[in-house]
Formats: sequence, C-alpha cells, structure tokens
Amino acid sequence: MLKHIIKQDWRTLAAERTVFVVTLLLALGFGYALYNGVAFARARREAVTAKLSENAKRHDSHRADALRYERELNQPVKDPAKPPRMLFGSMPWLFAGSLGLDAVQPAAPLAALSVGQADLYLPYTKISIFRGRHELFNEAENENPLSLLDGRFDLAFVIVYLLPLVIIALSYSLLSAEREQGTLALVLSQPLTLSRFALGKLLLRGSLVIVPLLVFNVIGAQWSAGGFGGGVWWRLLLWCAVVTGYGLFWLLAALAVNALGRGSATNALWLAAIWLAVVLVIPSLVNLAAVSLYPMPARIEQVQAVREAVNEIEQTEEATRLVNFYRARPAFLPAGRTPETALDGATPQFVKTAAPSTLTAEEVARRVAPMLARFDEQSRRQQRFADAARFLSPAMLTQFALNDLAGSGAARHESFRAQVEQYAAAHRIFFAPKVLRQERMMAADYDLYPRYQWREEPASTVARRVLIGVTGLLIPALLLGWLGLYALRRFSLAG
Amino acid sequence: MKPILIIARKEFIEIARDGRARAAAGIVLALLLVALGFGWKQQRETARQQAQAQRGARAVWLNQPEKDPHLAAHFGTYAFKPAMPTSYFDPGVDAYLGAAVLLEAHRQNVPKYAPVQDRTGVARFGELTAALALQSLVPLVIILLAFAAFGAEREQGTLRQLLSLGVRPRDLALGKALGVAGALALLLVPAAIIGVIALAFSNPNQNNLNQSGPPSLPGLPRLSLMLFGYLLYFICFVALSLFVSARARSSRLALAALLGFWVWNSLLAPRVVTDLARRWRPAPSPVQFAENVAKDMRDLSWLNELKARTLRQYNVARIEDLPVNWNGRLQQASEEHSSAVYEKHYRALWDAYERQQRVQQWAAFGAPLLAARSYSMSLAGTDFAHYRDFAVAAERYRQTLIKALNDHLARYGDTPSQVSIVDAELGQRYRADRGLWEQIPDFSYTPPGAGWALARQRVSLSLLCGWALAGAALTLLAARRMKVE
Repeated sequence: MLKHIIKQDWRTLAAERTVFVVTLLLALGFGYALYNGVAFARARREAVTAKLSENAKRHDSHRADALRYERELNQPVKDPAKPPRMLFGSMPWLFAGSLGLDAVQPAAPLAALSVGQADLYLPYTKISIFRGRHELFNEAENENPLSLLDGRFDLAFVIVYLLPLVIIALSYSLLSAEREQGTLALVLSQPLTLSRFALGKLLLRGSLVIVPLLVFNVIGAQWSAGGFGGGVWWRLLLWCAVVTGYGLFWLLAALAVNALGRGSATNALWLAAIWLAVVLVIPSLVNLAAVSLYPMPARIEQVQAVREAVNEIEQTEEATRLVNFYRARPAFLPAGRTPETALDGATPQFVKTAAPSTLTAEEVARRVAPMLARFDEQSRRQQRFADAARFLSPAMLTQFALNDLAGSGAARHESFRAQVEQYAAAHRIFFAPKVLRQERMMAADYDLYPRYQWREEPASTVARRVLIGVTGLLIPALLLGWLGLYALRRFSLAG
Repeated sequence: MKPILIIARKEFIEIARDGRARAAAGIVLALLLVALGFGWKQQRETARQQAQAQRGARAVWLNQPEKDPHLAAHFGTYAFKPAMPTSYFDPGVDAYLGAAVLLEAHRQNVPKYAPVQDRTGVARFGELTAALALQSLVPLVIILLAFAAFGAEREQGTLRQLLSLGVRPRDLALGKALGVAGALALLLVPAAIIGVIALAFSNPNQNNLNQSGPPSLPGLPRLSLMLFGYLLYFICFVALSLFVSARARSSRLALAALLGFWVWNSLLAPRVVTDLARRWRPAPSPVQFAENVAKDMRDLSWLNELKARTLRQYNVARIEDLPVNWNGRLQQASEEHSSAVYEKHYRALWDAYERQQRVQQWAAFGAPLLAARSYSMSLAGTDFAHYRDFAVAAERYRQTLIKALNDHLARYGDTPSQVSIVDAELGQRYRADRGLWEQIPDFSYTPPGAGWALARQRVSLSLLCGWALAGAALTLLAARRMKVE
C-alpha cells in the first residue's frame, strides 16, 4: 500500500512541477556553496603552506649561518684585527625573538564544507620570547567586515537555512491541500489509515530532498578532501546523520502542523514562523543572553593593564633590573660573569636589549596572568552556556555539529589555542636561557629546539559531541512526529 | 479624500481584529524593544570603557620613565575608536572590527580586539539589534498585514461590489496602504520615541541630568536621517505587498511570492552579493599583504640618499664625524619611508573593501535590504567608512607623534662620537623626560557628521527612493488593471 501512496503522490508532485523547481534551486545553491567553500579552504591551505615554508626557510638559512660561523671559528685566525663576524643564525634572540616562529594549524580535511568560525581566526600565530601570552593570536585578519557579518554561503548555510525552506515548500500542504481539493476523503475510502497516508507522503518528500542532498554531500566532500582517508569517512558518516536528523525534524514539524487541521495558508505561516524562530530569533536571543549573563571584561582594559605593567617595570633602571635578576637566578648568568658584569662593555649592543626585553616580556606576562585567567574563565562560562543553549534550536545544534565535523568550530580553535600556549612555554624554556646566558645558537641547537606539532582532537571526542547533537535533533523530531500522529486521530477530513 | 479614509479605516480595523497580525506585531515590537534596550546598554558600556581607556592611555604615556625618545616611540600609545551615540540602533560591523590601535614607531597597526572574537559561535546567527528587527522582521509583518489586501476581497466577492460603487482603484490602493501604514505606526512610533529618548541618555560621559537646559542630542541628525531611510524601506514593502496582492491569482500565491522575495531579500542576497563582491573585487589575503609590505620595505635607496645628503650638509666624510645626532635623522627618514609603504598598501586594501561595498550598494537594485542596511550603518556611524576615517586619523596622529620624538632626538640627542663613548655603559644614552611627553598633544578624534555619512550613501538613498517610488507606481498601475474575478 505504501508503494501505491508514494507512486500516486509522486505523480501529483511531478505534475505540479514545484518539486523540480525546488530541487533545482537546492542543487544550484548546493553547487555554489561547494564552490565557495572550496575556494575558502584552498586559500586557507595556501596560507598554511606559506607559513610552514616560511618557517622551514628561516630554519634552514639560520642553521646554515650557525654552521658557517662555527667553521670559521674553528679555523686558524688569519687577521687578529678582523675576527670572523657572527652571523644572524647564531643569535638566539633573533631566531626565537624578533623573527619568531609561526605555530600553524593545518586545515581540517572537510574544511570546505563549513566555514563556521574559521573566518574569524587565523590558523597561525607568531611565537616569540618577546611576546607574552596576551599577544598570541593578535595577528590582523584581513577580511572585509561585511563578509564576517553576513557569513559565507557554504554547505552548512544551505543545510541549516535553505533545506528547511525546501522541506516546508514541499510539505506545508501535505494533508491540507488534499482536503481542500476534496481528494482526502476519497483516498481514505481505500483500506488505509490517515497516519499511514501522511507518513507515506512524508517519506517521499523526505527522500526527494534528503537523499540527493546526502549523495551530493558525499561526492562534494570526497572531491574537496581528495578521498575518504584521514578521518574523512567517519566525519562524512556523522555529517550525513546530522543532515538526516535535521531534515527529519522539519519533515515531522510539517506533519505536526498539518495535523492541526488548518488551511494551507495558515500551515505555511506557522511553518515559516517556526523556521524564523529556529534559525533567527532563538539564536539571537541566546546570543543576547550569553553576552548579558557572562559579559566579557573589556579587552581594552587588558591593553591598559599590560601598558601599565610595562611602565611600572621600567621605572627601575634596566641595569638594576638585570643585576637583580642575575643575583636571584645565578643559573642564568653568562659563563664567567658576575651579576654586575653580566652586560659589561664586551657584550654586543643587541644582546644588551635582548636580555632585558626577554625579562620584561616574562614579567609582564606574570603580572597580567590573573587578568587573562579571568578572561579565560568568563569565556569558558559563555561557551558552556552556548553549548547548553544550543539544544533550544535545532539550527544551532546542526550548525555547531557541522562546524565540528568540518573542523571550523569553537572547540578546534580552542584546542589550537591551548596547544599553542603549551608550545610557547616550551619555546621560552628552550630559548630564553640562551639569550640571558648570551649563548650562541649552535647548528646542533637547530636540531634540538621544540617544534610545534598540531595534534588533532581525538576522533572519539568529536564524534561524541556530534552524536549528542544528533540526539538533540532526534528527540524533538520524534516528539513532533508523535504529537502529529496523535493529533491526526482527531483530524477532520471535511475541514 | 473621504473614500480613502474610509477604506483605510476598514483595513485598519480588520488588521487590528486579526489575531495573527496582532500576535506577529506584538512579538516584533517586543523583540525591537529588547534589541533597543540591550543595544543601549552595550553602547553606554562601550562609550564608558572607551573614554576611560583613552584617559588611561594618556596617563600611561605621561608616566613613562625617562628614556631615549626613540624608545618612547617604540613604546607608543593607544588610540581607541569612540562609540557612536547612534550605534545602539545599528551596531553595523563594529563587532567585527577592532577598536584599539597601537601607535608605535616603524609600523602602522590595524585596530585590534574585535568583540566578536570574544563571543560564541551563536553570534554568527545574527545579533538581535534594532536594525535587524527593522530590516528583516518588520517587512515580514508588513507582508503578513498586506498579502491578502486585494486577494481576500476578490475571494470574498467584495471587490466587485466595491468597484461597482464607483470607488476609484487609486483610492482603493491608497486607502489600503494607509490602513496598513496606520497599523504599522502603532508598532513603530512607540519604538521610535523610545529610540530617541534612549539617544538622550546614550553617552554616560556627558551627564545630561546635571546640565541646565534641554538635554543635548548629539546623534539626532543622524538618527532622524536613519529613520527617514527606514520609512522609505517600509513604503517599498507596503507597496510591493499590495502590488503582488493585486496581481496574484490567489492570496495564497501572493503570500508564497512575497515570502519568497523576503527570503531572497533578507537571507540570500546579503550572502550571495558579499561572496560575489569578494570574488569580483578581490582584496589581498593577510599573507599576501604582509609579503607586499615586506617587499617594499626591502628597498633601502632612501638610506643611501639620506646618508649622502647629511654628509654633504655637514661637510664630513663619515657618519661617525657628524657634529649632530644621526639616529634621530635616520629614524625619521626610515619612518617616512615605512609610513609611505604602509599607506600605499593599506589604501589598496581598504579601497578593495570599499569597492566590495559599492558592489553591495548597487546590488540593492535586486534587494532593497542591501540599500537600507548600507544606509542605516553609515548613518549610525558603524560602517567600514567610519572605521577607516578613524584608522586614518589615528595614523596621522601616529606620524606626528613619532616625528616629534625623532625630531627631538635629532636636535638634542648625542652626536655619533658621543654615542660611541657612552654606549659602552648601558643606559647612558640621551634621555628625554616627562617634559617632552607632555609637549606632545593627546590624541583626539571627532567622528564625521551626518552630512559626511549621507554623502557616501547617495547610491543607497537613491535606490531606496527608487524602490519606494517604483513600488508605489506599480501598485497604482496594478490597482487600475486589477481583475475582479
């Protein structure tokens, strides 16, 4: 019987042509979104590659410098008046300070599918012994602010905003149209229940929209990521689960609204209102609540605190500060010096500025640490609130789950930030003592210093977060379905 | 005139009795008020922080210990973008741009700390602002009020009766428009009044209560012009809704067509046009930008030229023999070179953004929201042009600040022969003190006025007028040719 319903319904739909127009529009939107997302992901990959090769080039040339200088030192001196000149590569304060290294986060395999929060954050940041924690992720992002305000036309946008509209356009008059045309009573004169009839029609519409969408998704993702390897397959599988869950929510919402037994125009208005609430009103109210309940301290106050700290530190003479430091931490004294002679006449000028700069950066970081901790704590609270509040709107659940799978969500960036902070500490521990002890960078040091290596979030963590999201989609969807079927029992065929 | 008013009254009463319309208008009004209240609170808070930070930055500048003027130039100071009094109405792109810029030697920085970076991903769904309510939600209410204006009469058979009474189609259309407008006014006038009252209390640094006389309203010209723009936008939607209602075969089809237009206008057009604009008028990526700057910085011809000129001027053969300070001259020349390089590249970058913006403005031919949005942001002082004006002013200040420090060093600093002696002892170089810090005036910035903003929005304003006029003309035409059945 179900087969008959679907077949008959398909003939009606096909005659109306709406389904073709709508599917065509969806396909066009999909193609455009994929094209856009791929362009974004490509630009990201290029930026990442550029930064990595910049790092590698600097490493190689500095290492070669250090090696050359070492060789020159080992050779017998030709002219005592002209000792070999130290090259850039031998100066740790240059390699690890003024020039610095970039910590780089590689693009996620499905980056092209959802731009998410990725356009707000650069996938790299400069690590330097002269930069404190408050200066990490401080690079300017060249992006037209209007693009950020509007967000991208990516696949996630098509799914979160347009997919429901397509489903609504196809199913707002699921039962009401049949009733208005007087065909509903006729159909139900067959050995068939109303709920079975409604579900059959829903099944057809669902498969007409969701199945092609999933196929497109898989092909598009496979093409943009260049295969199913590297965690692509399980991400895609979950991606499909999210899309299906979200589609199901809207299909069953259409069923529930139809089951109320109103006219087609009223149904359309109800569904449009639900759509507006889910994609716009609830998220914007949640955002408002997050900002009001957990207001972030002003960043400009942080700027002010840093500046005041610098001023305060500099009230003490540089020379005095250094002597004090070396007295307190004799382990960092240059070989064969006392605290008082640590920076005597033989010390090159640049070392004289590098050592106090290192100490100042360290001291500023220490002083503003409590303030940064307050920022972090408030930011975490805000994020926790948003994570909990996402269950209020299936659109938020879907967007965040898709961002997670594409690697453009808040969690992946937060993980990058945490890893970078850890790395910056290791970097400082390796290089700062060299600057303070006025040691040269040896060629061997270039093989020893800690390198930044991005660690992807464990698959199980991502999968768990996404699956919780899918559950959050299915519960209201099934609830709506159940309510719809329940209300159908009282559905009046005559209207 | 009479029939128009009667029709308007009937239309108004019908809307007022319609529960759906009442509910929708009530919800939108509530959201609008929440948005206004929240925006007002945010705006006040931002203005307070900004004023405090600017005072703090000056204090930090003055409290610097004695130091080499060039080191002071490296330390620099901060400029903070003032919050516009009208930003509570439309925060525009403010949240996506930084408001604090470090002004230091050798480098033009961009303002940093965009508030959106401290928000959760929810913010990307769009923030609830008065502008959002007016640009997206109110048109929806208009559609709801007006989609059945003619269709329902036709479906109930009253249209034939009306026209047979000799009511002119023009009067019918005007009457219906007035009726809808009256219902809309019930929603919008209270919001506008509250908006203007909020403006009076938008600046926490100017305590209006302590002043004698009427409270000052610094943003009133901007706000009034902004509201005028919204009026045009709403006229356009009322007219379009009536037009579609008059032409469509049934009110159901009219609703579908209008909702489709709304989705295009509010949801699709901004994203599509932004993407296309970025593709047609590309801006350099951050990596490219840095490379372009670095390439121009590597050109050191200015240094040789400066050396030759200075040596000639003092008639010596080596820099070491100069009877005047060399470092101050060197730093200032280097500064002028780097400033020129930055200016060139920032201009190119920002011009690219403005070209993208212009694509958006012209695209309002296809979606009136783009015109209304651009116009509203600009009048609120929260668009990119205002940001750029601030950034340019800050850069101009930076150049005078650094020049004053370098010139001071060139005039009073040690000569090369002195430096080489005292350099041996750390920290014995020439130092300036608070006297110099105080000589340099504080950064002060007054945002441009309403006329400046208006002049940049000629295209948007013309297109808004065009949409409103075209909508009205189409409606009158459609009313005249309306089919009774």
